Amino acid sequence: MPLYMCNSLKGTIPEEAKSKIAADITNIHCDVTDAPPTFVHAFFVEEAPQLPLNGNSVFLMGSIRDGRTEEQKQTLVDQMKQSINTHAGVPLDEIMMATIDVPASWVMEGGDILPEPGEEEEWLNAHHRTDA
Amino acid sequence: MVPVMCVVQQEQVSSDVAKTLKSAIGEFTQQAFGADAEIAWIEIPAGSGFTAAKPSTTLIASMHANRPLPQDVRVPLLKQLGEICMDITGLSTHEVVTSIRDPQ
Repeated sequence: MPLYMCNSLKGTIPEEAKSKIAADITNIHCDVTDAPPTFVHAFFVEEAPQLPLNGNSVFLMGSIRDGRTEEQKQTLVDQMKQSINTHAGVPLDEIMMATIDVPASWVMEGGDILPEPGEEEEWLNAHHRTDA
Repeated sequence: MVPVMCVVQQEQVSSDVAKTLKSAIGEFTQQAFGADAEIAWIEIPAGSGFTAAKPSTTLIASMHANRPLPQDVRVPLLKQLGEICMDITGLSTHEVVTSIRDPQ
């Protein structure tokens, strides 16, 4: 967590663009929220019915830990949509993005409940993670 | 029904393992919530999953409970769900993310 699920029409996001967008999603999320990169998952699927496109070419759904401000969430949306536009050439008005807040206490990763925003360092130390 | 979303990396989970995992998750929701699992199974194609901007080996199992859960009930269930996923797939604790949310 966060989990960013990117659904798109077939062929909309070229294979070579996915790693670039994933890197941007990771960097943007970490810059905006101060979360460690190790928590950031970015997955791409095509025409997955579980993530309805509703007439758009791309739908990016971000499940993020509760506690972010509305300003932070709007920045995530704006910058991530721009990344998809830049790397995949999809017009901004064909990209839909939404975020959903999930309490950290509802999620387990690495065998432990996720830390609250801002309390990641102790958690990571306890898990001997060096990739953050 | 308990809505469940299971996201797996396509290369990591064979069809046999997927079948076993879906069945085990169904048994879990029956035991924990007295209801069948309604599983949305999403396979991430090779080259399409990233964790920390690197190729991902992460499996995510997320569900909505059919009642609000106190944390002292939720945590053991999260652990149990994670152990089910690890036992069946062979993934490590750092490759499995579980989430049990209160009702939608």
